[in-house]
Amino acid sequence: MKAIDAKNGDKEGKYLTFKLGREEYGLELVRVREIIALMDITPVPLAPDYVRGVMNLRGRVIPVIDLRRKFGMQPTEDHDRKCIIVCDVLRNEQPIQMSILVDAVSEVLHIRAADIEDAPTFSAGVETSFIHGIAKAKSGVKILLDIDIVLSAAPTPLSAVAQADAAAVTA
Amino acid sequence: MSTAVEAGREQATRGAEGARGQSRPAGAPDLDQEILQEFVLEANEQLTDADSRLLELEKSPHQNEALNALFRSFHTIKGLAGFLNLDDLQNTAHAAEDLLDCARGKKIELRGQAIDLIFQSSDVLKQLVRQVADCLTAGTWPPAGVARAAALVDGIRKLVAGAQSPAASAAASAPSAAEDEERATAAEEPGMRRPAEGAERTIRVDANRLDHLVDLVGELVITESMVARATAVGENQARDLRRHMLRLDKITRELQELAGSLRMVPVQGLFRKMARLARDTAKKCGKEVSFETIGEDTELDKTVVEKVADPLVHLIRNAIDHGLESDATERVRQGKASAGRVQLRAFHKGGKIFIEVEDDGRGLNRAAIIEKAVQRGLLRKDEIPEERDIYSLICQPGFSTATKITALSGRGVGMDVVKRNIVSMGGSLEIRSEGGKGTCFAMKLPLTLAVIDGMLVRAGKERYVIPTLSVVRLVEPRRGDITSVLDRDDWLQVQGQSLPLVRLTTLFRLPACDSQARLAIIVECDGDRIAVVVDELLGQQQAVIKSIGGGLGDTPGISGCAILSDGRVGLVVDVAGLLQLVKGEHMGDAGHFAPVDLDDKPNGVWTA
Repeated sequence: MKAIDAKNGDKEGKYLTFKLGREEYGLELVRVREIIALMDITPVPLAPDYVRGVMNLRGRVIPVIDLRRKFGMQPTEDHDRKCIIVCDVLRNEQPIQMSILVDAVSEVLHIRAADIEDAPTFSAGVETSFIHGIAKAKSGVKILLDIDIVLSAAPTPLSAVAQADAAAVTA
Repeated sequence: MSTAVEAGREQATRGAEGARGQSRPAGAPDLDQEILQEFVLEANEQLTDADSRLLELEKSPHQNEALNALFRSFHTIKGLAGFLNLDDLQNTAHAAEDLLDCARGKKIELRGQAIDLIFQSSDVLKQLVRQVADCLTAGTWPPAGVARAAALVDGIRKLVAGAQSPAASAAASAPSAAEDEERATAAEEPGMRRPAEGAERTIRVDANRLDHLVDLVGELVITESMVARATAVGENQARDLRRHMLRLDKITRELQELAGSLRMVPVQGLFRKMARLARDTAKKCGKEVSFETIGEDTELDKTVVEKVADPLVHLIRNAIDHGLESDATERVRQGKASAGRVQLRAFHKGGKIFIEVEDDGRGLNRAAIIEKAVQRGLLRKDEIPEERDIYSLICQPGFSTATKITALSGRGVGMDVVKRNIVSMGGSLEIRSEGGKGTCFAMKLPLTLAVIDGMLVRAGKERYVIPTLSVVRLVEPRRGDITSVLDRDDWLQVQGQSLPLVRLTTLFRLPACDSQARLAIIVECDGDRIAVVVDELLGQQQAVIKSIGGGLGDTPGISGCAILSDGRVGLVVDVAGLLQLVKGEHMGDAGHFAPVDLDDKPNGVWTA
């Protein structure tokens, strides 16, 4: 138990939380470059369906990953609460910028180590390697993401996430 | 943008800034790594410099200035390596430095074995530095080391000891003189010396920052043109505004030009490396070669410089190994100087850069090339090809590697690769040759790879840029020109040739708009042609090519992207990739004959 506490010690910090369906997710704030409203995105032909396309962010071309589709959730129509979170990720050990399309951005939270639990190492129908931890906050449970794994080069590591249910992973 | 988003963004930015100082995302280099990276840059610069000094000294061993500069290069590397505890590097540089010191004290003449040892030291150091760089990227430590380093250091020490022992009386004073010099030079910071020499008014800038600057300027240009087109600017009472806009426009253009020129570098560094290569090749072939470079100050985009290095290595090796006569007496008999001459030159002409490699050797064997070409069915017997077409035959795949032609004409290992490299950069290769007088390989290259001429087309709702270089022609196909095959594929008759006719929307699996094929673009890559149907030609434009980024992995049919004039990202079509798609290599299965889904036409070509 002590070891787990020590490990979760480095997880303490500020998180940006956002909505995806009826779930709340958290992303380490240090990884967040900026948050922008949905903008013109150029689709990339023959790319996997979760690749929404590429956008022009002040001269930089940045891929946009539709997190709903990446997690195998039902796609929804675009609306103006949807936004794009641009983040720093490591992909094949290279630092690059990618972005994720989420349903809505909620808030920035400081989450203490004591409030973070490890994700179960396995779960029915859900691949858990991309879950950094489970945080209990006043506003509810947040699933903390390991964004490097979420956006890793592996084709569809999270395909089984379709049945993800916040209740199922709550301790 | 909703207020929630606004607030979120503000918080996020503020928070991010605060937190970024404490811990960067994993993978950011720590201090040691940064110092080591600096070292790699500095050492490589010093070694390139050292090589060119060495070549000078080899020609005339008594140039004190070159000798001193060479000594300083090794000394700097020794100092830096010592500071970073890179023992192998330090020892090798130290030994070379000792030897050079003896040369400065006139105890050893820098020729023959002595200068060879210095050349070898430079090589070993380069290898060691490369290992450090590799270790940095791979994240492993320590570097493996170079096996021959120890033997080399021993060899140098023996030579130095030998040089010092005959003058036994001077022996005691000699090392101390070297040490004095050591102390004198060590007093200065190694890194500080270059600016002190005062010749260079340059600073080293991180390439990523430069790219970012160029990106931002591109954005500025787009935004500026959007503002200029805004209706308010056109109104009558906005005279002041219009005047300011004109000024802004001028400044923006100038800034754009300047930003473009920032990535230009002189070919000097490349040429120096080639000079070293020429020397080594000449040594290996046992030929006497005088290697000249012209136009070292010619500037071109850094990316082009990097890409042109490989073809150049090939051309120079070929020129020395095969182009020049193997026997000096043969040259003298023909009234040439006994030393073969190889010239490397660069110059600008008509918005392109030319890089030429010329030798004064025996020239290409015209008759043998024609004979071989006829044998291989590349030429008809009765055909009399144009002079330059004959020589371009040696760039045909497979042609050049045939031993017979190589022995006869003396050309061509890997000429097809050279040609392909050049063509892939959007350049061309011309070969001029005269029997007994020599051969010249002239590369014509674009100044930059970052900008291409493209055709902006619409397919369905999307716009794509097709590189003009790959476009053979545009046609408006008539119904009678189209042949249906197996009720699936269409072929288009163009000038008596049948080409696969494919819709870009089908290839890219996009919802199609027009049902009728209105416009077909004939594109070509490696001799294969296809007719690509698009819905509309929107215009020609120069596009600044950007990488689509590492985040998406493989993007079949797309080579990169460009920011279009309205600020959206337009994708640049990779014609070679399109051909692959047509050939079914990316369409997954061997579904050439059996479509998986009736609605989803396979795009395979009937290849039986």
